[in-house]
Amino acid sequence: MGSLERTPAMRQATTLLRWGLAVLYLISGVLKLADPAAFAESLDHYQLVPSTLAYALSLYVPWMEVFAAAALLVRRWQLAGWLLAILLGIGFSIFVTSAWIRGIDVSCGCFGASSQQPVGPLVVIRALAFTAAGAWGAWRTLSTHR
Amino acid sequence: MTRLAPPTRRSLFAAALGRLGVLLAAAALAAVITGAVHPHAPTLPSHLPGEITLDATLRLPAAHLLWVDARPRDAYTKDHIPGAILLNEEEWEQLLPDFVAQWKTEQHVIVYCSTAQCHASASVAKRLREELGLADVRVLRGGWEAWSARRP
Repeated sequence: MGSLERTPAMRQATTLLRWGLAVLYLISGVLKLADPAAFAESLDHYQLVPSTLAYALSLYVPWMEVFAAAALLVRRWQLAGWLLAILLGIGFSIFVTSAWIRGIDVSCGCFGASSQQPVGPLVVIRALAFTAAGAWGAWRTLSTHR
Repeated sequence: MTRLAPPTRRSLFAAALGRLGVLLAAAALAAVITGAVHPHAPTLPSHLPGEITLDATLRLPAAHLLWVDARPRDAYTKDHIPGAILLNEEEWEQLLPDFVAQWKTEQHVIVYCSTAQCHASASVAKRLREELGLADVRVLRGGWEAWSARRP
């Protein structure tokens, strides 16, 4: 496994994933920051957290995404960026999975108010993939050290 | 010239946790500033859990809404939100089959009563959640009064 971790292909794959995730989180954060009130409503429709918490999260989560994107692009901050990406991925996964299981017809709101994609298996898989991508990146970063 | 030893996995992880704390704190600060200055910042909700405002309701697709009128029958007969079905506690047993027949799984159920102070809508919403196991049931904040005030 040790040799596989250090292959150029694996390094390039991780770099590509890092850039891809950073761009996605940056776009997602900026779109949500364009209209936090609409994002607050989206979160409220999930009926998972009290409205007051949905209000706070609507302002906090987009900035977490922006800072995760920024950290992923700065060498010394990459591991922190991956860890933040894991946190975000877990949070998104909890929201969309709970709505899907409870059968609540709610639009995802994953990329701000404009994303009207209803929550379903594809959205759940995407959220889990984001979490897995963060975990992969963190593991890759740590595995290059003893 | 001495060469510095590369950081260990443990020290790298510890440093990353510290930086993660910095990122979370910076995001919190940015969120507070955004809440104070953003023209589209959300307003602190004054409604109770399980309530929904009329504005938020009207943004939902109309085809996915099922209005439930929890007021007494005479108030419903006099006037009601178009498409609303009557389901109040006084006639619960008789009216429930009609609700069940009309309800579709993809619908948001919005229950209303007369005013912001009435409790009938909260009671009906509670029974729908507990007795029928419906997850997506909300109470319209301000009830019929809020709807009437907005009506052209």
